Amino acid sequence: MEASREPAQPDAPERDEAGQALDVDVIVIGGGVNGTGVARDASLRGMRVALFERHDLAFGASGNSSGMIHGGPRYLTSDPDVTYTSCLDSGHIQQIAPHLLFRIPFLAPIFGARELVAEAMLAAYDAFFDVYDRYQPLKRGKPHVRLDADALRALEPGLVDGVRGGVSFDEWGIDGARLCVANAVDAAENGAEIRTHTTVTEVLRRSDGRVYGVRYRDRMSGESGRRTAKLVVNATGAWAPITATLGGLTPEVTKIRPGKGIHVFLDRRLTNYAILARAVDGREVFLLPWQNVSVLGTTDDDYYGDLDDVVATGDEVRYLFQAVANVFPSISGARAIGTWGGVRPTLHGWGVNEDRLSREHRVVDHRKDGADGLYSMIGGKLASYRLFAEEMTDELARRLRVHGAKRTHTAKLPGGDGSVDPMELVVRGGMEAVTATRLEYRHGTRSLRILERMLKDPREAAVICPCEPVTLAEVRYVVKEEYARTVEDVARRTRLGLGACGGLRCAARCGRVVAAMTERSPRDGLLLAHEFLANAARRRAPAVLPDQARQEALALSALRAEIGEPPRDE
Amino acid sequence: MSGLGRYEVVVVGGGIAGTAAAWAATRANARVLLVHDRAGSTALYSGAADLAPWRGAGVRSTAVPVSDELRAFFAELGQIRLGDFRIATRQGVVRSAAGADRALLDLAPLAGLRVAVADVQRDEWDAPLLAWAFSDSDWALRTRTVFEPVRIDALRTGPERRIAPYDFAALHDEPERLAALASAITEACGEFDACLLGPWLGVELETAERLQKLVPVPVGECTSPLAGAAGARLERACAALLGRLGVEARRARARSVTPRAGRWALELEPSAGEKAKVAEGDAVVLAVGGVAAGGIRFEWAPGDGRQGFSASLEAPIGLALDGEELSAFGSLYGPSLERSGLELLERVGLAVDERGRALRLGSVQEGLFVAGDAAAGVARTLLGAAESGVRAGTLAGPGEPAD
Repeated sequence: MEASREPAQPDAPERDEAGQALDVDVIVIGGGVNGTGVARDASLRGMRVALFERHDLAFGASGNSSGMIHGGPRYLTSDPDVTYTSCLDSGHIQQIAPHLLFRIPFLAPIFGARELVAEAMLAAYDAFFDVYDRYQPLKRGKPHVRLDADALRALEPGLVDGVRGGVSFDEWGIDGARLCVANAVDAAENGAEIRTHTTVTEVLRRSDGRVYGVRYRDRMSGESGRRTAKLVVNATGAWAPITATLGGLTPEVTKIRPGKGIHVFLDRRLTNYAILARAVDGREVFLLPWQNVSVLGTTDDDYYGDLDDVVATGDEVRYLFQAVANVFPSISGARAIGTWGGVRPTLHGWGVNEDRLSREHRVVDHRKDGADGLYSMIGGKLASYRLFAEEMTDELARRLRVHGAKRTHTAKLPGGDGSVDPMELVVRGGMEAVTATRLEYRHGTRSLRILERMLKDPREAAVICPCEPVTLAEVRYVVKEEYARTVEDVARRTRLGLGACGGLRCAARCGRVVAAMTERSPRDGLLLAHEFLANAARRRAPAVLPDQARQEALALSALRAEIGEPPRDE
Repeated sequence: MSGLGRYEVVVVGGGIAGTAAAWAATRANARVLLVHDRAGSTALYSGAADLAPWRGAGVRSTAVPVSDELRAFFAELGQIRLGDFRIATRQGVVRSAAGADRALLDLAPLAGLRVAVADVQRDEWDAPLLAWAFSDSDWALRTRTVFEPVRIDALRTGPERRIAPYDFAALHDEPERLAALASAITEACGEFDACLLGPWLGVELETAERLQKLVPVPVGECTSPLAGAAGARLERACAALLGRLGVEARRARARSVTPRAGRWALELEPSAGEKAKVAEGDAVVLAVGGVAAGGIRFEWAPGDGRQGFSASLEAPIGLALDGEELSAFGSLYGPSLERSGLELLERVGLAVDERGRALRLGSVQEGLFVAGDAAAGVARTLLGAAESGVRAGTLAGPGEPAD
């Protein structure tokens, strides 16, 4: 038994206001990386968990990030603890989901009209990265290399003339949506209830202010109800202040400074190294190779708009292109095939430029606000989500007097327990090599389950989305096992429809497959496709360049010919 | 520069609008030169043709009458039938169409009957899912038409599952292969009133007809994807028609069209090692296509001073959007598609008056016409493009009095 060193605290209740037993131990609101991380950790420790997500898993910042779990070298001089925890936790993520990580080596080029200045800058970078090197072993990263101009150009011939030299360093790339889904699936396999497209409409409170559950509504089926719990976690990221108001609290109790960040993705790998560049306002931006596309990012601007509808603007897109064109001129001819945007739930700080805000995370106990039993998770980074989730779960465990062991840094995420050679998928499943590699990336060892589906029914080996490429088996799998209920959801999990064709060839079919599997009608399936296509078009519009314009016009006429325009509201 | 000779009408663009213009001009006894460069929207169409844009199932579209001239054009072209069709699309929708490629199966006469959806194991074709979707269409429910998947062996090798639809279609131009398909269909569809296939019935014009002769029930395709068989067949049909008409057709890219002594000089891009060629015409019809075809370019390239939209060749003609001639956008970076939506790309075209005559800063450029998607304000439909082509070709011909 633990010694009672803690200050006296009201017990987590066992019953609701009518004396009924509570449904679960913990309700988590929010299906991003923090929410699914807590759901997983709590479930692994034996707590009963229910998670509610208003849209889809990873809908917010978690699914719209730069696609890296980088070590935060940027914070090395201002916030070295952040760098440490990022690197440490990146290392843990590698352990538990090795299939989701891929190396992204970076180049930081240096310019300077004067040789002395360039030499000095290079020396400064060298020294800086010497320090960062000490953190690299935490995440199995390689030490940096100092490069002269010739060596740099040999590595990346597309760099502009006038480069004086630079430094290369190592980071890891990851698909944030796959990470969230893996956490959610693991939680469910350990007893959690996961509800997507289900919004919490009220956080229930007793007359003494104590929080004891939520009221929810499934936005797709219309079903509503309530779920009671001993503790409730607000893990809704940028929506945290809104969620707080659902419990009758003021938004200030979870004060954040929402920072919008967008990315542009280009139709192919333009480089094998990620390249850093400075934008017109001095911010650091990058071009990075990300699996089969390139990613241009990112921005950071205070955002007061609709969190449910974050779309990149032409201004933001041109800002990024302009910046990278200074170091990698051929970017101007590249073809953008999409954008995505998310809002970071950054800890609030007044009078500070967005870039310089702290990236720490913080657990807020709303007992101080009269809402005992409610917690909020504020801030955080993808790279240290697991640690943040662990801290939150430690507190939950303490309140509930649960003594399960902490395991999330060693217990493998689904798909991470072993390795699968994509050649096995090629040979046994008759897939193309690219299809197999992508499947193995997304699902790790569970790609074998998808293979089994194909062997049982050869029809499922059909490639539905040729751009990405995604098979029918995988689409059915993510609907059945990974909570996908719309074409957007499938796209988030498999990247279907996010390639150069913009869903032209696969959206309608995917919509019907989803409808068939979720007991809806074919016309519902077509509506899902229209919804996806409309959103995808809105995300592409700010970044359309001449070559892409032609493709867009063709797609418009082809879609009109084959599925017509989306039905207008009467 | 070497001269190519003088013509009464020069048509730029060999798609449906250009072909219709050449046909109409020939009918008006003009000596016609047609210049074409590469495939545009016509070659990529689906097989279903509209006059008024088709908005979607369940949306009533206004019936637009087809002119006698347009009917005559398509009768001579041969590949597209006009009428009141019900067409199945590749994406599982049953739609109406004012015109259709001969190879497409018309569902209208099959109302209330049983249609087999050929279940061929190609990756792009999910017959059970399509049959399910077709059955749920408004038309099928209203007419109680039944769609069912029926297993048909049409593949010979594993890779045939995945080859492009165009390539799979081309396989069936070969008589032995076509005959094999016919017997597979005949055997499997005994209990059905018709058989619906994917877009596989050849890139040659007679393949579908040859198949129909071998099969006892109506058989036909659904719509084609971009770069599929229907577009390929229409391209061939247009080329064949021009041949029959005796229209001189040249493969070349038009660089510019300039007025010269009361006529028009069309400069063509030279091939390697040759000099640029010039053709002279009393009248010129520009049928170069819209943004989709590359006839109108969208660019924001502040570096070289061009921004917004431009025509793909130099010509004394303005660009127009929504009835207004474009001068310059208020941004170095061109128009903002995020505000207007991507549909803006379809509303831009060369400035014309209601008769298809080119306009520059409001004044008519006599003898210069625009037809098809290249023209602003013309419906982005195949039949609409053909209609404007016929009109422009007629006006461009020598018989028409100047206004």
